[in-house]
Amino acid sequence: MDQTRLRDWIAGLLNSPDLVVEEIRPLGGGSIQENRLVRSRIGDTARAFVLRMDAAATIASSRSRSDEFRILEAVWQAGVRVPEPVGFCADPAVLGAPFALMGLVEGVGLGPRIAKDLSLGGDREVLAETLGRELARIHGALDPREPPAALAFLGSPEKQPALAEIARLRASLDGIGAQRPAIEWGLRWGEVRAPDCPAPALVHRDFRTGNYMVDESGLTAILDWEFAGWGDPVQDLGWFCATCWRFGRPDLEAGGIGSRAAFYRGYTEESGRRIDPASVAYWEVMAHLRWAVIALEQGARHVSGREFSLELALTGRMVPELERTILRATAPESWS
Amino acid sequence: MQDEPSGAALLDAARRALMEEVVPGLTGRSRYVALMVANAISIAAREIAQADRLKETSTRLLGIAGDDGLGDLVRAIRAGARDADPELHGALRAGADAAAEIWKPAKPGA
Repeated sequence: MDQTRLRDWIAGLLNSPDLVVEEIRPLGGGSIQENRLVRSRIGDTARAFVLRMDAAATIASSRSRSDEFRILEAVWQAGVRVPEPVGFCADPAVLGAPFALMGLVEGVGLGPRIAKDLSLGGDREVLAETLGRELARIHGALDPREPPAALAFLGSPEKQPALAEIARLRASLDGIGAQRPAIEWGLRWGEVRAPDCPAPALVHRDFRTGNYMVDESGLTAILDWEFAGWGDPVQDLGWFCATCWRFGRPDLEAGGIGSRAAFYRGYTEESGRRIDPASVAYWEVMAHLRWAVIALEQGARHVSGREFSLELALTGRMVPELERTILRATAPESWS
Repeated sequence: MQDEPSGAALLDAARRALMEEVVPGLTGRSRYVALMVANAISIAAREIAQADRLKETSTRLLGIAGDDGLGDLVRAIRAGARDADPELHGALRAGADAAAEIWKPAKPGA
């Protein structure tokens, strides 16, 4: 990474010619993106940033860095607890690829650790309620009938987000040549039972434990906006509460960290929207279906020989556990 | 004649040696990778031990799938020809249960 070019770009962005970059180092990150910590100083003031750019292996359904940054700006302006969007560099001449620069937020994000280590996150019922509130703010951040011009890439909301999701998942299965009758059974159940979506909203689409950070006192930031777009807000509630995202704490139905009641309370109080438990249950089944398809895709990256990774190989093998949950929730008597 | 120890027994021994003699001395990324290796070994060992059950559930599913096997079944499910079919659901559950037990065995008493 060219430190001089990066320094010059940040100095220009912040209008601070005396900015000095003191440290750049990789942060542990996702399989889709690479994050780096950038520590700088302007005179006597230290400023730390996170620099985010595409990792080598990206998956098709994630948004471009620039789109993700525009969404981050919109939710930041709406008061959602996210890292400050500092600037976006579209010019590949600076670092070799476009990148986003955000304010550094301290905290721990690793899902299993948050579920296990109760010294993190503050009072867990308060944390669950706070996450419910933040999710409500996300859902209320934008009006899909009048989106800002910068977010024109979001297009129009789908009339039936559930059916659109099912079509995407089937296409993903076909894309890797996967023949999984249990997943197909679940997708067909989802098609037969697809709910209408009277009030589409901005949805995060990966709102779960593991994608937010906490410190000792509570929530510090909601991360990973690359799947956000118009959709059915209930999808996010179902994704957060699905048993596959409870990290060894199936008793704590809100993301393995708190009670469903606290999470719902925060959401309802902030949004004024009533939560329909049956709709959430539907989207919890859809969450398992989506995660099963993503896990198959990750496994296929290893199986195809394109990429050696024991982690991806093992992820592919967890699919039957998800299928078992899907089949339990979609017994023949639950179809009508 | 099967040489002793069997392949499955060797995998169990390899996992035990890894967990008892190697993992305690590791930290950070190496420890994480070693634990993944141990997990992969257990899965492979269980797959060998439960090969008969897997074959049985697979045969049961293929028996109701159609002439072209799983491809036919997938197409029929998507077309709505097997909606809420209790026989299919039973076969799918048996298959998923068997495969999920290989991924992660149920805790005794759970």
